[in-house]
Amino acid sequence: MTTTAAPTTELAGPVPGDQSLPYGGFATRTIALAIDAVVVDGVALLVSVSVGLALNLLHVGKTATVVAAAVGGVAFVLWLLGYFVTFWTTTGQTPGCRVMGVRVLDDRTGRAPLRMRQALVRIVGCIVSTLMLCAGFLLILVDDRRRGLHDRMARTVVVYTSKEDDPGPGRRPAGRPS
Amino acid sequence: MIRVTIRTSLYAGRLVLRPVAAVVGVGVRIEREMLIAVGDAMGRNALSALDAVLATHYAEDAVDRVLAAPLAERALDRALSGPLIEALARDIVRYAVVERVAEAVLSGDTLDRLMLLAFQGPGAERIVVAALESPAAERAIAAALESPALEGLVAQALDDPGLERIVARAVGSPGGERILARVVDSRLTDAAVTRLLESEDLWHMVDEIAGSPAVTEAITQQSLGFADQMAGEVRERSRKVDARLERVARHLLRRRDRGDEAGPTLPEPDTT
Repeated sequence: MTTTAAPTTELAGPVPGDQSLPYGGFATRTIALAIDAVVVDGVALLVSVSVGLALNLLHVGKTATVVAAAVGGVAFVLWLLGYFVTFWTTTGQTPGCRVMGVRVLDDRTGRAPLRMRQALVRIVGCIVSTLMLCAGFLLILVDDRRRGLHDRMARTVVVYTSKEDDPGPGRRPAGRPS
Repeated sequence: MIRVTIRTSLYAGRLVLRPVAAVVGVGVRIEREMLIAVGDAMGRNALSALDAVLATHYAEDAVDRVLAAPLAERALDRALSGPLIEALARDIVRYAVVERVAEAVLSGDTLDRLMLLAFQGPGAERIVVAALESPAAERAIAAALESPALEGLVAQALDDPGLERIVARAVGSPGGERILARVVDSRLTDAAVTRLLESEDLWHMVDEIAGSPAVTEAITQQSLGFADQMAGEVRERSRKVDARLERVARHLLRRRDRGDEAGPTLPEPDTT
């Protein structure tokens, strides 16, 4: 969950273990996740409705419909993974994080973006946290650095971003190649 | 004895001449008053005659004919092409004519009366329309606009701080407000606005402006600015909720508050 498109070298992050940093809290991260869910599910719904209408016009058989549903399920999982992994490993912020002003950083380097492996582990951690009746997410409320289970598994932290970190429309961080 | 006789004679002479001088004085006064009365009566009659003439349709016809006459056109052409304009401009600036006239007009209610007459009179609109539609006026305006003298005059007038003072005073005065209200309420303005709204060119211009990249970009920027403002507000509130939820959770679990409860300085959310 994160935002700004800034190069790795410019995202000065926290010193690992630094508790004085402005770590992102539960409500902010929940809203950011909700925004991402709206984006992901909205796109998936649009695509699935379009494909469903097309298949209905073509009068395909029952088997083909089952196969299409299976393909759709796989496509949705890939879309979900691709969405979060792409944003976490490029900008360190999903659109939801960008709106809410938080960014995911590597806990060891204190910088964004995450590595591919970290991003995948974080997603798995999110699924595990959800399966535990969201208890993994509730850890954010009591952890000294506001880390959930998925953050601990992937060794990541979420921090608030400032105005300087978030170049708005037409604004670009100094030295960033155009 | 002789002296006494002379004095007596002079005294007697004065006594005799007094009534004569009084009669002559009365005659002179009567003559003067009669002259004044006759002059006043003649002036009033002349003004009444002028009013009567101006109230007839002949006066309007006369103005129309004068404006439409080739002589007026030639006279105007000559005046505009000659050195008269330059000389006039120099003198106007040198003697601060505009400033003085404006001061005088603005200080009294003369301008009010003139504007009232101009905009409420039945012939005013016809005269203005006739003047504007005449080819002579068109050529005269074109010649005046192409004249370097006019350009210099306008530039000089715009640079003059006196003009700025006059405009500021005129705009801010109650008389200016009244005049503006009358101009806006006049039939001439209604007719002009109606004609303007019926013009295809106006709507073409509006379309061009509305579709211009500058306007589109401005609208986009405003929309983005509003979205940013909303997002900033949500961020700010969610951060407060973060801290509150954490306090409650830690209180329930009887854990001490985070070291940063008092706060690490949170980055200011972008509310712009």
